[in-house]
Amino acid sequence: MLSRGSGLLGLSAVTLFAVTGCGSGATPPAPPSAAHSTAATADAGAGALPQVSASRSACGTGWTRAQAGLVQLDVHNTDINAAEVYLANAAGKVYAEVDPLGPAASAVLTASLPQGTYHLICSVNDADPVDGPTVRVTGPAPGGTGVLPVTSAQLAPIVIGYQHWVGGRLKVMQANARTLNTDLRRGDRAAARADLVTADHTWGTLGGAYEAFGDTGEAIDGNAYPWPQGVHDPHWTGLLRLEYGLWHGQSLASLTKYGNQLTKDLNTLETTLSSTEFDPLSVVLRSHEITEGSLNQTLTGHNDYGAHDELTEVRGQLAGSAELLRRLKPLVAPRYPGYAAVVKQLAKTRADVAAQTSWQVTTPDQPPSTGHELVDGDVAELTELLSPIPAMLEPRVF
Amino acid sequence: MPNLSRRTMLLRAGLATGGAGAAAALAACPAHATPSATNPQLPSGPVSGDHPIGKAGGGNPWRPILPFHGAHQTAVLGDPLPEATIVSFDLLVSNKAELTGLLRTLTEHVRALIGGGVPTPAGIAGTDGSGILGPSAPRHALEAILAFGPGVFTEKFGLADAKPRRLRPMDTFPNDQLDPAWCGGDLLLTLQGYERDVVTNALRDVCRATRGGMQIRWKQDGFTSSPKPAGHPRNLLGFKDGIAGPDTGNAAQVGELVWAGAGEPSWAAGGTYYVMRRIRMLVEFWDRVSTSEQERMFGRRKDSGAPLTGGGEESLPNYSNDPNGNAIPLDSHIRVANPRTPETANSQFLRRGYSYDAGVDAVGNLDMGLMFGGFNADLDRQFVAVQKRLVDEPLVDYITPVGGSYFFAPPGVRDTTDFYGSALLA
Repeated sequence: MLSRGSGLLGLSAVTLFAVTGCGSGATPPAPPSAAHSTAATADAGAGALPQVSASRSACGTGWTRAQAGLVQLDVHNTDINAAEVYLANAAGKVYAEVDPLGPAASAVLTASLPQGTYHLICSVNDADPVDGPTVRVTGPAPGGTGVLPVTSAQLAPIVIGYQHWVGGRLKVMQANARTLNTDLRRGDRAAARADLVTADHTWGTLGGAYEAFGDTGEAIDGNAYPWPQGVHDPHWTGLLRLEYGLWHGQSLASLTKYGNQLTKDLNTLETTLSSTEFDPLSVVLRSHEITEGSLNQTLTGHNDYGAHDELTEVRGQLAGSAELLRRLKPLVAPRYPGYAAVVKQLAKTRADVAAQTSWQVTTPDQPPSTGHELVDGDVAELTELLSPIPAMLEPRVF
Repeated sequence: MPNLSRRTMLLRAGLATGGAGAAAALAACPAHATPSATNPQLPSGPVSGDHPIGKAGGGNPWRPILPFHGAHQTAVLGDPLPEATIVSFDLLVSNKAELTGLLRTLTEHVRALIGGGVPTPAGIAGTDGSGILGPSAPRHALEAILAFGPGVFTEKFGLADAKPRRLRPMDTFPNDQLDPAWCGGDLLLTLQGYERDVVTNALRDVCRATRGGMQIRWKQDGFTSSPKPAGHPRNLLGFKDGIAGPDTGNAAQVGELVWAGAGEPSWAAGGTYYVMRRIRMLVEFWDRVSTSEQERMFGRRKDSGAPLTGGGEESLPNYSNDPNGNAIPLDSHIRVANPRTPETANSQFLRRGYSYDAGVDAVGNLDMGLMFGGFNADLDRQFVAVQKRLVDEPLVDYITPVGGSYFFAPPGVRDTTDFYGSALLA
């Protein structure tokens, strides 16, 4: 089971605005090693780095000047609490961060800076962030790109709107399950198969990849890999269990219990969604995680139990990604020069998926089909283009 | 195809008797130019404490890195480095402009990877590279060879008329057992260096930069071991490999045998036909064969690499004194591959292969062998002619070509503004 952190907060009492984005659930970026090679450019050999303090009382002490281009600071947290340390310019654009930096810990902060004026920001836990002294950076090197950070408060209305939309998609999913159950009871296998494919598409739009919906999500759409007896395990439930039965000659009567369980699990999810708020960070992460799931679970065939409806699922997943991107646009577009490329690649991917007239599941002794490679490459490129969005929109405390 | 059995019961008709006195046409093991002590291409940073970078030549895999920029892809000429990955890609780009963009991106990334140093940090505007080389990557510890498959030369890219005249899907030879999953591809990228992590980092970076433009079709990691105890490195059959071949320090030989030109489209001058074949070695079978029989199949001593007519690894086989094959059998690998006659001198080509080790087959035998690489000025005059001579050689019972393709490596990237295939796409 893959888990990068559930999209749902564990406690319904937590309000959106109390959520601190920094370091709350996301995998923190590993700080670069303090011991670094003498081969570094910009004379950034070990021992040559400015020793810089990061605390409420001495934020940025020790950093006084730099040449444009690669800048490395050996940042030391002299506070008694953990901190996040940012390097920002006068306009507030962030060029580098160390998150988190524990009390008494050191880390190398590496940035690529164009000429301008900069300062450190020391955001010590449970305290207001402190700006360090201004440092003028000069020189001709072009430097990297700064990004205006985003707060939880800015994300909140988008997250609420997205959650509302997901709730609407869940109602569609519940209707799909009802239809499936009806056809299972009627004994109409062809109709039940069609219903299942429809439900796969709907579920894809909800963006349930990587345990976004926790255990309930796994009960609804988990594959058989986690279960000791695999496809024969009595505890395996959900859409993929139904797919396995429908495509492996199991009697429809024997599958009705799974249909009923699906309905129950969807109702449980509905209850959870109505009483729990999405974590903004998790929603931001999902902007690339949905298509990561398309690549690593769907297109690989890992979740194919006979329906071969990979493309249908991917269509749903792309629709889900598009919806999230559309909602995040007000925050993404001004920050991300590649936004237009994302939109273009999303459209290309959806068109190329729609244009596939047949689908060959890749087998070990054959090269991938041309259509498979095209869709794989499209989704991979799209996911690559989406991947900066979580880095930019991760809620930060300022 | 009807492989001859290990012990053919019928005596084979006499193969062409070695042309008398023709053996010395080409030097077997050329001396290479010694790099300057201040060679800027020497890598910085950790490469290996156990293997200082030595002189080029004699098959030494711990040789200096060759320059990236130049009229040719000079990495072609270097002996195989200790580590490599050989990757075939299918193109997903749909027109000439996109192909040009892809090749520019590829060039920029390869150039930056060879340059090494501290990667530009992404800050919060994106995500950083693999990080497997630490905060600062070794400099000049990587080489790359890029080559085009026949799929590049299509109407889709407006390049149908620009195809190198010999380029085509790989021929199927009588002893092949080709697996479609290991054949074909529109681009071949060989990344080679001293250390596995440098090669792996390069591949991850290149793929990341080109996801929508090309997809990996097949990939095989390879390696070259350090000489045991000296001379050319050994292949997985235990024999020294790559001893004979063109003298890469001899401009005339390289010009005749490696760089394409005459008869080719003008853009292709200075490029080279790059044959890549995945040759499985049936090592379990091989290990159950006596050393003497193995040596007769190759025509060389297993321990020293010397031809069976005597001398050392670098001695020329003396066919004139051995017209009936009493020392070096007439059907031995080295004698058939390179009879050292005036007529066959121009069929020699530059072999640059890597051993591979890739798991286990259905009966529990090891899947290992040779990623056979060969560079040719003229595919048919050289590789294909030699391969035809080698059909049903005794060694075929122990080696099985299972994949591969023909490619054409374009001329070099001339400078910091040039890119792979610029002359083709101009």
